[in-house]
Amino acid sequence: MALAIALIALVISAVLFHVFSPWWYTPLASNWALIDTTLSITLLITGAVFIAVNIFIAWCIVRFRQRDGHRATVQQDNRKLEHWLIGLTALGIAAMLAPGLFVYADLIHAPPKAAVIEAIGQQWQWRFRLPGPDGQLGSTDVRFISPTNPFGLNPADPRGQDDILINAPEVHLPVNQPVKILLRSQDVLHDFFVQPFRTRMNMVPGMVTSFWLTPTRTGRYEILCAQLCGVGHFNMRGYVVVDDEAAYQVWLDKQRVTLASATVNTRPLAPPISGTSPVNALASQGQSLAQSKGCVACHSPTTAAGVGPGWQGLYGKHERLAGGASALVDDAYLREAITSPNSKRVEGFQPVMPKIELNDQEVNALIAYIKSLSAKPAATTARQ
Amino acid sequence: MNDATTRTDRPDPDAAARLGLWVLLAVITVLFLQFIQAYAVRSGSADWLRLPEPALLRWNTLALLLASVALQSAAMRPHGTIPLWFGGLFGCAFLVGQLLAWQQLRSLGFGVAGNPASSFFYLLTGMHGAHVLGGLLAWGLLMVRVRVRARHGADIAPGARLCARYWHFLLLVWLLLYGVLFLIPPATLQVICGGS
Amino acid sequence: MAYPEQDHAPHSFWTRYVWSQDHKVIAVQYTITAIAVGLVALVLSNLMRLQIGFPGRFAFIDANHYYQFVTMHGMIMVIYLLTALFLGGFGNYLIPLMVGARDMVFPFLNMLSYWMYLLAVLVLMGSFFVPGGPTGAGWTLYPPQAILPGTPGSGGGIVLMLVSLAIFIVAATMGGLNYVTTVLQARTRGMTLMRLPLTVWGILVATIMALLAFPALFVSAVMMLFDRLLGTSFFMPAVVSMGQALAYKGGSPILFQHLFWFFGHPEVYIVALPAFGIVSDLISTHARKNIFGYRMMVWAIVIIGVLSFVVWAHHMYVSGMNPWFGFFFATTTLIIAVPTAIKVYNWLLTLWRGDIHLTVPMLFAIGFVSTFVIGGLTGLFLGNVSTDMPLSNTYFVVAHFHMVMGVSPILAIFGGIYHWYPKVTGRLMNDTLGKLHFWVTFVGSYAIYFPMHYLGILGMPRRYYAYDNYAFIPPSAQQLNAFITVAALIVGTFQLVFLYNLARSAFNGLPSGPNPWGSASLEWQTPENPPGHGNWGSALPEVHRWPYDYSVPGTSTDFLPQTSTSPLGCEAKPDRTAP
Repeated sequence: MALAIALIALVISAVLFHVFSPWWYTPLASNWALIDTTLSITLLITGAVFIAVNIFIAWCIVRFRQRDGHRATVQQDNRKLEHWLIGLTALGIAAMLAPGLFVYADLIHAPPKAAVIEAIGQQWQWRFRLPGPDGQLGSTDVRFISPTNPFGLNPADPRGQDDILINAPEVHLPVNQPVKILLRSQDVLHDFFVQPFRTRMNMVPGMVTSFWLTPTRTGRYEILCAQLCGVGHFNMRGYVVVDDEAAYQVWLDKQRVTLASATVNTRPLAPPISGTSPVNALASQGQSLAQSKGCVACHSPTTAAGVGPGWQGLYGKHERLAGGASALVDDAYLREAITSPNSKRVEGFQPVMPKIELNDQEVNALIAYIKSLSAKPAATTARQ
Repeated sequence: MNDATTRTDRPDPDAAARLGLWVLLAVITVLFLQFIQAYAVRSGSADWLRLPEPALLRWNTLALLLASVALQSAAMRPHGTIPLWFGGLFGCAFLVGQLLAWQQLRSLGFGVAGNPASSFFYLLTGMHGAHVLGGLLAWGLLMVRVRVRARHGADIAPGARLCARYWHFLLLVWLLLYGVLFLIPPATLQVICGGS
Repeated sequence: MAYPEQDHAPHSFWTRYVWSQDHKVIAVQYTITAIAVGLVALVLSNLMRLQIGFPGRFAFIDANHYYQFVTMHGMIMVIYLLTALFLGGFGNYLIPLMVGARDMVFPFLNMLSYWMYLLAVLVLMGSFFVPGGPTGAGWTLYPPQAILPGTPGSGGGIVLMLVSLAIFIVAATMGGLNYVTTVLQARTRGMTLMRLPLTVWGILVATIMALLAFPALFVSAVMMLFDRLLGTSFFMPAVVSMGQALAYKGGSPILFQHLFWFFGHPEVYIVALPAFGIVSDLISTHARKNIFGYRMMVWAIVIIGVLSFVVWAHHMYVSGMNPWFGFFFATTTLIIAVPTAIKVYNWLLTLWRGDIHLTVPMLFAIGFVSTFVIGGLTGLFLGNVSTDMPLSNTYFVVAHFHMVMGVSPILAIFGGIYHWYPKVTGRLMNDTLGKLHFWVTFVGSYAIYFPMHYLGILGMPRRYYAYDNYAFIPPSAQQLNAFITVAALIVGTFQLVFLYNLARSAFNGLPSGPNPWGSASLEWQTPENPPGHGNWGSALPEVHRWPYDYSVPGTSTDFLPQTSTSPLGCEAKPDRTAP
């Protein structure tokens, strides 16, 4: 009896949970409304079956539970009933499968007029590439990748010369324009996942994958990596900004200018540290670099250890190194740690830090930033 | 392994062993088909280089064939142990020959790493060799049983039949691998395997 | 004819309990080892839940450890607990008793199978103690990341994992040869295939599937070992890892995924089919009614077994494989729902007009049906290729597969253990503790996994160490995660009640008598209880009917055992009985 009550309570609380749950899809921002529709159809059918099955079990328990003098009624099978059930099940399945396959046929056929952009994944950061005035992306290969050519552009390919390279984890898309996103990875599997877009695809080293969508709502959306890609997986952050036509042009022109001046993109992603003194300006540049170079995937700006040590309070501290030695964290220590990673290893961390090509000025900026995190009292910079 | 021969309410142990062997052969077949499927997929990539065929392999094939013939004749003649000895001997010769073929290839500059065709050569012949080794182990157990049972004049034919069947199977697998590695062009193989 | 001393009959403690060739002892060895290693995996799951529910509160769980816990929890639960317990534990114990055999047909191989399994477990546990720790690549072990330095345990951990899997597969093959051959060759007189209990059918088909599916895992493990140790490029494309160009070139990561899931999907049913069988028998016995549509149930098991080999790529819709595959695999995947639904209907129709005894095994069996149904239904979201797009690799997936192949098979295992415990020990497990265990586990599992689906729909990706500063995840999601963690800790802790009951009842349980549930199937008709070595005393039993003659009209007794010669009964008509 208790089980019957529990099953009915279960059904009721499941329905209530569904109705009152604040956790549901984020509002759709692409043309894939049909995916949501298919999902709703599936939810309706499966929800009805879930309720029916549990209620039926509960009713059986109440009606046919063991009592004195009660005996089971033997019935070997019932062909007619079973055929009906099979037929109904097949019908329900078809009702879910058919719209699903229709949507899928659209999902895998990008319209020919779709603009093409490229997203590149690396442990644990994003970069992007847009075709230049010639409208074509140049060819690439992993073997061309070097600190000065992080995109692996083929130097011999003229189509690649004018490509717009965005060495930062943020890309813009024009609203209501179909776009086909080509995906590449230089190390392990990643996945380009923007929940409001609904569609997505893995990034596989050694091949180019793709998916397409038409963004329908302007706004700034988070890109998540949704395929386990190592210890910094959860911090592989990126942003896609859907702009109206005018804003998109402004952004695009800025990218072209940045490219022309051939400097590293250091546009800040987070509000810069306040103050305008030269030291603060340097630290502020360091903060931008920490974002754009993906340092923050492993090093948090707090005391909390991530994949690597947290930066707050790090400067001036004595770190215990693996092997028992200890070292004072000063400018020289940080410089060595940045320019030749893993030469010294702090106890409790893995030697997994990549070597990222930085000029002296940039290293100084990062050191200034790390220093700035230790200069202030802990309370003001700690999160929460 | 079990004494069921003495009991009437036990299943026929030979029938059980025969069935067991068939199931085992099915499992090993699936194993090698999976390897070949992987080979077919991988052989479609751009960095694939065809491997030169070590001349020794033909002699090895002959040795394996002779081992199979010898064991078959042992299975059909319940009391002679000489063909059994030959079976094992040719089996060992095959393995030694395969090792020599490895060395030949290595001296030609085809190591395990490097181009995927040679990686697959070592992988597939190694896997097959491991199964030949297992067959030799079974053969060794059979020889021990021959020693023990010879005194009682017991029939070793069922054991020899199983052993022979396994060796025929190993021969077939080897011929299949040989064909895949050196005879069938990768493009044909990809069509057969529905390659993607 | 007197039952003669067997050549592997036990003579001392060592041969009786350690190097035993008796299927019943081997079954207990398998079960205890699997439960022990499962306990490790349970602790790991609670540790990772602590991090998700209360991030940063437990300093010793850093990102490396978190990924290692995730990986080891998954692999242990799927392979070393569920597969080993259903086939090595239940299969070993029940097959000879249910088909009327004295033992497995190859007892020595059976013993070897257990020791190989133990070796595989020890190698796996060894990876906790190597430098760098166990692998943190996720239980799917996808290359390239599984063997690259950005992943914890890419040194010794991944190598030991792959070696352990290879050993496990050899062990499973040895066992599998035995189970299949025993069912096909060693059935006693009168035991036709269509008189086998569904438990045996489930285990038989699952074993055949394991024999055909595990080679794919073996192939992928061996090839990945080559890539890792010998520098071959089977799965490894050219990569620049951590700023360094590696020597790999041209390999295909997607090839690994195909091989892995060619094993991985049948594996789901390798776990599910024995659970189907066990639950069918529990429901029939405790509802005192024959299983509804026995023949349909057998065919459903066989059809599911066959279909499960052509659905694997539904795990790879977003992998970058040829997109045309999506149509094929979505269709086959949804078709497999039909035979599965038939099984559910027949369980329900068995309860209908039954005489339902709410014993502890029955509670677990009904709990299985409820949890399996929700897990199966959510599978329809993920199997249908376009609805999988927003849900793939989110918590929806985690909730789905934990319901369908975590909670529900475990409930079937618990039900089976409470049901057959009197057979193994001659004693009943404590009823009150059993009910307590059921209620906490059943209600707790819903509390854990039902809300988790909604986090997935929201878009929370799985395998995240922390969710700091993701704007689209509301703070309430963190509160829900804390709730789920508390529920998981409670459920985890209450499994100790089960372990206590299991251990204590072996010595202090009430004597059960030979057939406490009034079960008709053959394993309860042994001359001794628990059965002695050789199971059947002097003569093998003779079977005259199917195992589901409960509440037969015209009989005074509640059930007719399979050995009964009564002319009454409601078995399927002989003209429809397969040989």
